[in-house]
Amino acid sequence: MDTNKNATESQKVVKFKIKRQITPDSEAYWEEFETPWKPSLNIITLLMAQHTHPVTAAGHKSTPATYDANCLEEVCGSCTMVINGRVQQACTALVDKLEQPITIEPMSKFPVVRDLMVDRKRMFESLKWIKAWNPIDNTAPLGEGPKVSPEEQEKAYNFSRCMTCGCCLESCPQWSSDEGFIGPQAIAQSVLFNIHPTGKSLEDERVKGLIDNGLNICGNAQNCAAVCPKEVDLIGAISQANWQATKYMAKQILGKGH
Amino acid sequence: MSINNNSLKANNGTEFWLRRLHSLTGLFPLSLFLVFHLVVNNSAIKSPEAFNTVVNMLRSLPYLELIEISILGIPILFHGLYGLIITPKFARSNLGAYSQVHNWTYYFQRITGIIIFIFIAVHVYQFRFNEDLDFESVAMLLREPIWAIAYFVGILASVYHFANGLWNFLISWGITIGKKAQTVSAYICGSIGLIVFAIGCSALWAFYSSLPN
Ligand code: FES
Repeated sequence: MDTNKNATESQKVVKFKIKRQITPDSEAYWEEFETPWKPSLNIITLLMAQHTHPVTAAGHKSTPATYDANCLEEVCGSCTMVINGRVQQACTALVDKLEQPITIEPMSKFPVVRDLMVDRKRMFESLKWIKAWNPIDNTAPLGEGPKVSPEEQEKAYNFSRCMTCGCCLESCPQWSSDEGFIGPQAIAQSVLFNIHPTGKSLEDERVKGLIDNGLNICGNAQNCAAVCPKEVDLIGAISQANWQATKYMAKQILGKGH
Repeated sequence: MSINNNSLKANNGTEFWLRRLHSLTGLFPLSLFLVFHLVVNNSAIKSPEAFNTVVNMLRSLPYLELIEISILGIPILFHGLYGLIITPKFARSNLGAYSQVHNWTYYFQRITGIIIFIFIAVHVYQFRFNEDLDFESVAMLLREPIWAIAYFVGILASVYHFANGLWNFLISWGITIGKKAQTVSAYICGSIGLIVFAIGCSALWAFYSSLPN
């Protein structure tokens, strides 16, 4: 142990703390680790180092910290965690840009499976509530789809970049998984599918899905747009959805709904 | 938080309709009344007599109580109480981690809401239930620096809540769609707020600086 310590002291190290939680219902606790510094480290490589040497900074034997990751290029969203207090993707969070000791914890708004891995199922459920698909199933061929103008394609492309990572929901001061607010992620997808000429046929049902799930619980703090790693226009999406809901309300009140 | 806690909590839109009503009552009648009230107060700048005339005129309106209860009392109670219920239930401030400007405006909207609720209760108790309210009785209170400050804070909180609430209203009803429209509306709402604030303060100053007779 002693020789080991002398060796690391002569080198630059990266200090980091991981919030551990062994089962979904057990108490969380922090563990501190150190690993030799290398150029271009990111949080995933840091966690990989912890896996190869799961020993705390104080020299106690620990276990490899569980985490989710897949694409390693910020397109799948699975490695989303709270790093130094701010929600982001671990695979693109560069160690050299972070103050040490780096704190790594799971998102606070989703149920923890173990350690840094959370269950993001709620977001996929929300997509069902707003029917986030284009209705094209049929027994007979439907022929060519309707044309979509380049402007609409452009707008839709932005919303389609969403990777369901959960940053927007984690940073939202109004959202929690069990209080009836659908949240910015699904609101943007609702707007996306309402843009498409085929998807539009379900607009009223989607808007109803948003209304039934607390669309206006949004308090316009706009953290969602500030943290979105894919720069999805969540500000535009929410206000657009609000307008669709206003139109829907007018139809209901004036009796033109069904 | 248990792992199975992903259940759908659809509420048939009750929460949505209440929020829209909350937003609407904030604009009409509450914002309109606030502006009207602060403008009318400025008759105090002209002269104590002018102020007394306006007060007496308002007090002699037909169906006064009905008007007060229906277009002020009920909306204020609904807006205020509903706000006090949903603020602790939903709002979890996270300014430390996410400190962009609208997270602050969001936060202050809730803080000012709480201040206003207390302020209105005190204000109504002091002035509405004072049967012989006139310039001198108001001035007697507002010449005391502590009350002058309390009313200054009350006006500031109310006008902030009004101006930022207006900005929020335009988003919540889908009138300002997108970042650009909302930036423009922020400047417009902010300017309206500043003007209304100045109007409110000028009347307060008239009372504070008046000489006892
Ligand atoms: S691993 Fe896919 S976003 Fe990080």
